Amino acid sequence: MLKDNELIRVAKLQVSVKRKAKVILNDISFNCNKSEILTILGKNGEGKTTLALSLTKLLNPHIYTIEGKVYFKNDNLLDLDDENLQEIRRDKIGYILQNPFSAFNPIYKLKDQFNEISKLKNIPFEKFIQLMNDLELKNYEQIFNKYPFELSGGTLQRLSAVRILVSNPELIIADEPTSALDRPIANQLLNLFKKYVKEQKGTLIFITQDFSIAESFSDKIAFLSNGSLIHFTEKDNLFNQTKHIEVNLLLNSYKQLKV
Amino acid sequence: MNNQIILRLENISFDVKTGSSSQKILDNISLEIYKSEIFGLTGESASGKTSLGKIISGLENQTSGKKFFNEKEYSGIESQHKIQFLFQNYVATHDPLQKIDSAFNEILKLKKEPSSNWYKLKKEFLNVVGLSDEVLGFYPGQLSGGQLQRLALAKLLILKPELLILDEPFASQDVVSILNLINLFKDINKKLGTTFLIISHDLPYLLKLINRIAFIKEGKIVEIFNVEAINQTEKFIQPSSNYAKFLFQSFGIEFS
Repeated sequence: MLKDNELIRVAKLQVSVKRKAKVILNDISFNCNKSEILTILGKNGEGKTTLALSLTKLLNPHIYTIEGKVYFKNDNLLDLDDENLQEIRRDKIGYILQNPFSAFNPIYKLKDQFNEISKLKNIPFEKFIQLMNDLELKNYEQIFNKYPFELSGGTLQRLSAVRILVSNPELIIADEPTSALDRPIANQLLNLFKKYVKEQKGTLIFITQDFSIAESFSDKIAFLSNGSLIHFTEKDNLFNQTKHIEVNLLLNSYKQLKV
Repeated sequence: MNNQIILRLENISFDVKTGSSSQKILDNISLEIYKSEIFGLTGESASGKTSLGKIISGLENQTSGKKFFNEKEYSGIESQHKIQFLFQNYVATHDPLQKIDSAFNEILKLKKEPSSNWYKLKKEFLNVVGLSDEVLGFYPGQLSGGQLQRLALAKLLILKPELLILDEPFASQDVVSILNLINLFKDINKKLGTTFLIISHDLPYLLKLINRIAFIKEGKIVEIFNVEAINQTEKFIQPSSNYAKFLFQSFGIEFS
């Protein structure tokens, strides 16, 4: 099924809304090798988040149907039962969600939530603190004593990245993890991702609409448009003209905006 | 751009009281903006960018210091609607249950325009932002995010403001829309002579648009940078403060 260096391969993935029979993602196929950064670029409302969530069946089954294959380590994730999927979501695939407010339980202090992860995954607490330090969250005692709603979107976004990075999963799916961050801190998070890929041999699927971030650190870039992946490129060939008018338009605009 | 000063701030400070303690948001800010220039304001989150914009627009009042508009001291919302503020959350500026035509009528009534002119004005200002007058028959929910932003802009422009403050206009937009917005702002500035204050943390986009840019850090202006300092090779003359250098470098912008 999977080649030696492949970690995940998606074949003919299709997501549709049941009641309206409306197709949201159409015929998505791609693969991602081990220790590689694949960036999925697309505008708002093109289906980026739906794609991220559909890979491990995180979409509400009463509303969406998911068809196709998602091969990950000799399993087709879409065929697995809930129990096995849970295990994979817990140990193998980490999600950094776009909305950091929904990534934490609103009624527990951060301290308790991090303690739970620390116990469950046997991770020493110092590792959390070290990563928080790397992301300029130095007043950790204060942060740990707060509830999620008491923290800013930028702080929570960094914490949700920390929470995933500490456990070092084989694949991280990050959905616009830098959207609430200033560029200097976004750069620090990107450096942690790079370290995770280079030193821990992790794999990253990175979803963004920020071209300059995509250009600065991906290995491969795919364009999502209107629910289809329409163009794949190695980072170095990003600016080559393509046969897709839309991609050319985006790239030309980006070129003109570059300083 | 001429050298007539439209807005002058003198030693503006702004504190927010939280319980018994008070937090300094803006610290002794002095600033001049010239008529018809496009002025940028950048800095990291929580540096006080939006607070400064709100104080200039009169939505908030400073704790101490003075502000002058066309050399006249003012406080509160400027009574002639000459300063307008476009919120980052522009979607919320539209009433979802009100037809766009009727929202415009309300503004024009407030502005005491004779109703015979209304349609002409509506059409004119929708054209300025690149929308057709067909949208007058729509409800806000029938328009896309980008169209709603342009519509919000048209609603402000119809008041013929002299100073327009935009808070994070590029947030969560794709590159095509950003390029269009930059051209639109330049176009409005040229056609109507409107002065712009653009608050954004996207330094590269600001550099494509503005004449001067203020860097704000922890409530203080650390540098005002002149973009006319660009030379032909599109490299920038080194800014003088460490903070501005740090922000330039974080976007990978090199100096000559």
